[in-house]
Amino acid sequence: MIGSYINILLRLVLVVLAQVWVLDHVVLWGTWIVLFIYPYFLIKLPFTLSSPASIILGFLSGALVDLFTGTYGLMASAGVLVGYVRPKLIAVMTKRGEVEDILSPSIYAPGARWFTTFVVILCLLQSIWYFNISQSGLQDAINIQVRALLSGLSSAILCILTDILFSKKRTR
Amino acid sequence: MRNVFAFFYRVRAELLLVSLMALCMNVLYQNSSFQKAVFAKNTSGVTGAIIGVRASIDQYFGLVAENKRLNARIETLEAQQHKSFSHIPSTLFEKRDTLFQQTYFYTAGQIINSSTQKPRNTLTINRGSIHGVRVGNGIIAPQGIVGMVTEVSEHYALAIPVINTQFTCSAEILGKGFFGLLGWNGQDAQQAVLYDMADYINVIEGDAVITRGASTIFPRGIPIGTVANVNRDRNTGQTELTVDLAVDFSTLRHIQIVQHVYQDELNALTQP
Repeated sequence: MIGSYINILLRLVLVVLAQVWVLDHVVLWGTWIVLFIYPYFLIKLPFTLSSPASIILGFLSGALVDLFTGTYGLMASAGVLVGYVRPKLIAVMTKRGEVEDILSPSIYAPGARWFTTFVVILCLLQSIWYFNISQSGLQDAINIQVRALLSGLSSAILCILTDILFSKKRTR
Repeated sequence: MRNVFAFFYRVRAELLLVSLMALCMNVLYQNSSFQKAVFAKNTSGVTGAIIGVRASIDQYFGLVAENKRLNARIETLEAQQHKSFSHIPSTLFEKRDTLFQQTYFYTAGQIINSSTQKPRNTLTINRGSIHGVRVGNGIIAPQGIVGMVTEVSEHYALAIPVINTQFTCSAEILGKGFFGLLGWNGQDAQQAVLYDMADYINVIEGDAVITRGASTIFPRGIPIGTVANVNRDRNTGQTELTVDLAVDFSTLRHIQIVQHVYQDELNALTQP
């Protein structure tokens, strides 16, 4: 149990460092794509984690990224939202008892299709929130939504690739 | 009573969501920056040091280009040195400099962290309050304006570049005098927009855009870029200019921080 707490903490540190050291410098296609890796931390939280804990961890991970970019409250609010939706989404997407013997979601354990849907929904949610909060304006409305979609999907692909690289094949 | 507690217990996740969200929005949209400044003073020392680790590794890869640039700079400075000029012995040229008073100070620094792809891009600079940097100082590069300092800790400072949707500055067309408000619409890291120009102005593509020197942030005449596109709206009587920025934010490293000597005096006068 202690081991899994340390794991979560370690993942938080690595994800935040990856975000501020690497991804904030990656320019794929002008201002169209912003890559986020910190939702991956929330995606990989244990299935059994309670809603309040998930929200607080969402706030914490977002706030840590905020400290580096000086956008206090921006990433944190997106993290809170993802942290709140995550347990609800798990409840909707799984039948009772289906994920009892799996610790946390990965590409191998509940299945590739399940994991992909889960990641895409959370990343899109995070990205749409981020873009609409950090920039508003009626004349650029379509532009902003397109950027949110592109960034969300790219981040989702990044999270899935990360999971393929770092997840162990059998968790059971 | 028990039911009330049971109800609150059942919606504890929603309560937490609403309260944390309110906290975030409050911090994000609050105008008074005092709390922010106190908070930043304590935290950005740590985050600055962490970012510095990456920057110090990054520096080695840019050394060749940096050397070339420095050599070019040395050449220009050598040309301006006293020994490069011959003295003209004439009483006509003698001038005692009591008419001119120093208004701006410049501090050299380096950008150790920056982003260009987000709507709210930021810069981290390796100069802080012990080097005399203060909130509201301007940042310029040899090519043109870069941004404005928003938070300062002892050794580091955070700044918003021109390519941040919250950045604005007063700009004018070189030699023509028309001025407007420069901002960024979040779309292209190499272009900004000059708003609020009257529609009768005779500005053409390629005109140089410079700072107007309206506030204490930038001196007058620092280059911003060139006019790339003129969009006239006959209905509202307004013209918007698209400006090609002179500074390439993706390769920028060496900058100068501009400090106005009478910053406080002028701000106290202009702010209600």
